[in-house]
This record gives sequence, structure tokens and C-alpha cells, in this order.
Amino acid sequence: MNVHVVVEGVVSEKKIYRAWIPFLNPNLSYVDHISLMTNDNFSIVSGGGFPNYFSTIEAAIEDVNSYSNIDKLVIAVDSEDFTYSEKKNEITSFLSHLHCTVGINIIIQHFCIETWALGNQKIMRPNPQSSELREYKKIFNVRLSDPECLPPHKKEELNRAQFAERYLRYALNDKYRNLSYSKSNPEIMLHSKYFKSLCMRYEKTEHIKSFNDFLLAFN
Amino acid sequence: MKLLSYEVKSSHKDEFNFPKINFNKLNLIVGNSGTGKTRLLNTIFNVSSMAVQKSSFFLGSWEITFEHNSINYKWIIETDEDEDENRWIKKELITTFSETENDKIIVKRNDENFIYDGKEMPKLSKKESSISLLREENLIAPIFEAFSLIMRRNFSGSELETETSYQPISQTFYSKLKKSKDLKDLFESNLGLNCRLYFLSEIFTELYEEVCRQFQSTFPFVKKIKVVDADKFGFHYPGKVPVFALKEDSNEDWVPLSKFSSGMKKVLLILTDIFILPSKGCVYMIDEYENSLGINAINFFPSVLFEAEIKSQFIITSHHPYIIGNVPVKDWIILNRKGNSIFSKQGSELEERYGKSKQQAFTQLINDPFFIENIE
Repeated sequence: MNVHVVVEGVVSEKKIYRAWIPFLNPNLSYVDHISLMTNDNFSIVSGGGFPNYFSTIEAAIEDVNSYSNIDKLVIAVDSEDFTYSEKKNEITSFLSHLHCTVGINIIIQHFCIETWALGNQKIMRPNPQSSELREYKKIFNVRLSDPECLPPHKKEELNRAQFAERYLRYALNDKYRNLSYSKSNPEIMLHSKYFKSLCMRYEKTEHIKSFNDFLLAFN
Repeated sequence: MKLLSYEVKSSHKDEFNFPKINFNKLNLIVGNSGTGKTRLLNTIFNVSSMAVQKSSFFLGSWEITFEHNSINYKWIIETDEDEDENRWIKKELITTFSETENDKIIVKRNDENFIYDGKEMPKLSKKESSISLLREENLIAPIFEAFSLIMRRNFSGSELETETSYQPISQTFYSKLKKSKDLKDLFESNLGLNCRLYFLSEIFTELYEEVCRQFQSTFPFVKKIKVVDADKFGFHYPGKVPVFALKEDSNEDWVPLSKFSSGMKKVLLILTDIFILPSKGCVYMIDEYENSLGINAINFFPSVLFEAEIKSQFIITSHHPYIIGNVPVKDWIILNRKGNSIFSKQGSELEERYGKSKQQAFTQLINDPFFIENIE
């Protein structure tokens, strides 16, 4: 099976998906470009965070249609300020005007990939050292409650996706000294243990439900 | 002058090594921040200064091939320094080359010998390149001229302010230019933008009108443009001090060049440069020209390059999707860096692969492992 993946984000998604997909499906191996797919490969194209994401999807569909050896197209987007269903409807309605010769899986990262990442309960110390993190925990405790329900941080003027990113950075800094998370350097999330802890959170609780889109797309 | 290839091995710990890079007529250097794009332009400019000036001296070894007046040349130069940081030329070789004939040696120089055109030369300074030392010789004069035709614009310092300041014109230069009508004289004059535009308007009217036309099509709110006397702006100086000025739609007052926005100054400077480049062909290098330019102004450059029949070679750096998307992939040079070593990939190597996807070339670039690999 060959799978072509389109991700929206700057750097992190591409790195994360490249690492996570083989954890879920070890038969799949990564190639640098869609033209290099042979057997059981996957390739990823990132829209680079530029506002032309729909044209990246359109071009990906044209590519998939022109190569006869691709079995599936996966499209991953953040819902950001939209609800899960609103974002899913937006993408489905856009795709309804296009013809794709293979099946398409849509992954809605509700509301961003950092929200999923906050699902790892091991990264939150029971008693954080950092005063900011203690404050964040008071507003919303991601260890106990579903990270997908994180509210915006009004005082710091952060929408929920920005809050999730900052929350994750502070949590990782607090737990592992000198470790920094950024969209260009999501190193810690690339480990299999990290991925497994998200799978556990999803399986054992009703939390990070949108993570199931990822599991369904590559299982 | 057209650079064909360039390679540097530095012998200084703070400097970078560049692999052999081949150049086309238009060259777009792309790469993440810190991959050596600016350094590449700097080192090309520095080595050209070392060729033609006594004072410039850099450490390393270079191999440069270039074409001038339809002849292909290769210049290899190696410099060294002793414990007291005295620097000298250790080795130099200048040859011509072609596909049909054997290479011809023009200069061969090492610690012991200095041979020019097959003849042993007397002892000459080891602190000066053979191109500078022998600039009057028939075989070297065109090479000296070639290295004088390399120009770099770098907008990081106070270059825009210096270029747009007031400056009196020299009557002697005016008479010389009026007689020669040679753009090369204006190109080599080192005059500021006001004076250059004045001379264009007086002597090269068609070129001046073309610069103004391009400028006004980039900034359509500019209704009138004119070269006026600095007196008009209260700047009194004995002699003629020309000032390029404009009038906008909404304002009756003339605005002098020094008061233009930095984006407008930059566009005017680049346009003027481009139209003054001598017809013999120059190497014109610009580093990240898009900084401080709005979308309306960013677009002017690719269109000017494609519209105007320009004989010169352009080496530009950019991070901007519009520019990258408007330059053919074959003209890209992608840089990456590990420590002090730069690695490059020519656009021609990517053209075939990129052609196999409908994704925009820019999207493919930012997904290319060579482009996104971390700088070590």
C-alpha cells in the first residue's frame, strides 16, 4: 500500500507524521517525493503554513490521480478556532468538487497537533515547579481533563491553539530541564514512547477523540 | 563578464568552504537562514576586489571560471599567511579554455617563479594578484576589466542613505560622459543615485525614461517625476546639486529622493543599476532585495528582468515565495551547511523531480530534504 499525505503545518507536522506513521504501521516506509513510491511507501507534502493550503490539496489530488500506484490520500488539518464538525465539513465540501481516483482520509487535528501532545499524562508533573505552569494547571488541568476542551487563555490573549502550544512548551520545560519544544523542533514527540502514551490516553479515556482520525488513516 | 563556476576552500577557521557552484545567466540562491547565501555573495565580491585592488587580501584558495569578450578563463589563486599574519600569494594560475582547443597558460606563479605569456617575470610583489600587477598587459587587460564588472548591492547597512544623499556634479565628468556616451563610465563613477539619474536624464534620455516608466508602473500613485535643483529644497551649495523628486496624486509638493520610503528608494536604486549596467555584461549581485518591500514592489524585479533585454548576469538571494516561484527551478542554487562546509544543489538537478508533481515549485522546495535538513 502506498499513501500520500498532505499536512498543513510549518515543520512540526511533517516531522511528527514521518515518525508516527511507521509506529502505527511498520510496513510503511518514508520516501522523499511522491514520484519515488514503489511498495508500501508513504510520502508527505507540507503546505508550509502558507495560506495556499487548498491549492496544495488540489495539486496533491492531481498528483495522486496521475500516479497509478498510490492507494490512499490522507489530508491532515488543524481545526483551530472551528469545531471539529465545522472543519470536517469545510474540507469535505471542498473535496466534493474534485475528482480523486483513490480513497481520501481526513484527519482533523482538533484543534492542533499540540492538543494531542498534551494528552501524554507523563509530561505533566503532579507539582510543577514553574509558576506559569501552575497557573495554567489551575485554569485547566490537561492531566485530568480532555485537552480538546482546553479554553482560550483570555488574560494572555491566546486562542486555544496558541494556549495549547505554550502549555505544552512549559510542561516539557518543567518536566525535562533544558528541553525545548517548538514547531520547528518537536524532537520529544518523535519517540515511540510518546506516541504510545497518546494511544493509551485515547484508549483508556474519552479524551483526544480526534486522534482516532490518525489511527484510522494508517492502521 | 559572466561567472561560469566558483569554488572556495578557506584556510581560515571562521570562513566557509564552498563547493564548485555553476552559474547561469539568472541565479537565485535559496536556502534556510544561516546556510551561507550572503557569505557566497560576499566571497565572490571579495575575490573580485582581490583581483583588481592592491589593498584587499583574503585567505584561502579559489578556482573561478568566467567568460569575457567570448573567451573562457580559469583563475586559480591560493594565499597563505605566516605567524605574524603577513599574507602573500602562494600560487596563481590563469588559463584560457575552450571545448575545441587545449588550455593556454597566461600566468603561472608560485613561490619561486612568475611566468607570464611564457616569459619569466622579474620579482614582483607577492601581495598583489597578477591581474592587478599586469593590468596593462594585452592578455590581462580584459581579465582586469572583467573583474571590474562585478557589482554587489547589500542593503543591510547605511547604503540606501549614502546612495540618496545630495552630491554636486563634476563638470569635468559631465563633459567626459557627454563625449564618450559610454555607460561604463557612469557604471564605474561611484556616483550617488541623484547624480546618476541626472546624467541619465541629460545624456541617456531613453534609458532615463525607461527607469521612470518602470518606477511609475511599480508605484502608480507617483504622478510626476523630475530631476530638480537642490535649491528647491533649501539646500544651497555652490555648483549644481541635482535631486530626483516626485509628486504624488494627493500632494502638490515635490518630494526629494531622500524623503522617499525605503522601499521606493530601493526599487529606484535597483532599476537605475540595472539600466546602467554596461552592455559588455556585468555580474550584478543583490542580497535579499525583498526586505522592506511590500507585495507591489516585490513583484517589479522578476518582471523587469524578464521584460528588459539585459545582457548581464544576476545572482540574487531570496526567501520570498513569490520570487522563488517566479524564477525557473533550473536557475535555483540551493545551499545547505554543515559546520564550515557549504553544500549546494543546482536547480537543474531538481528540475526533473519537481516536474513530476503538480505541487508548486516553492512548496516542493520547502519539502525538499536538502532544503530542510538542519544546519549543523
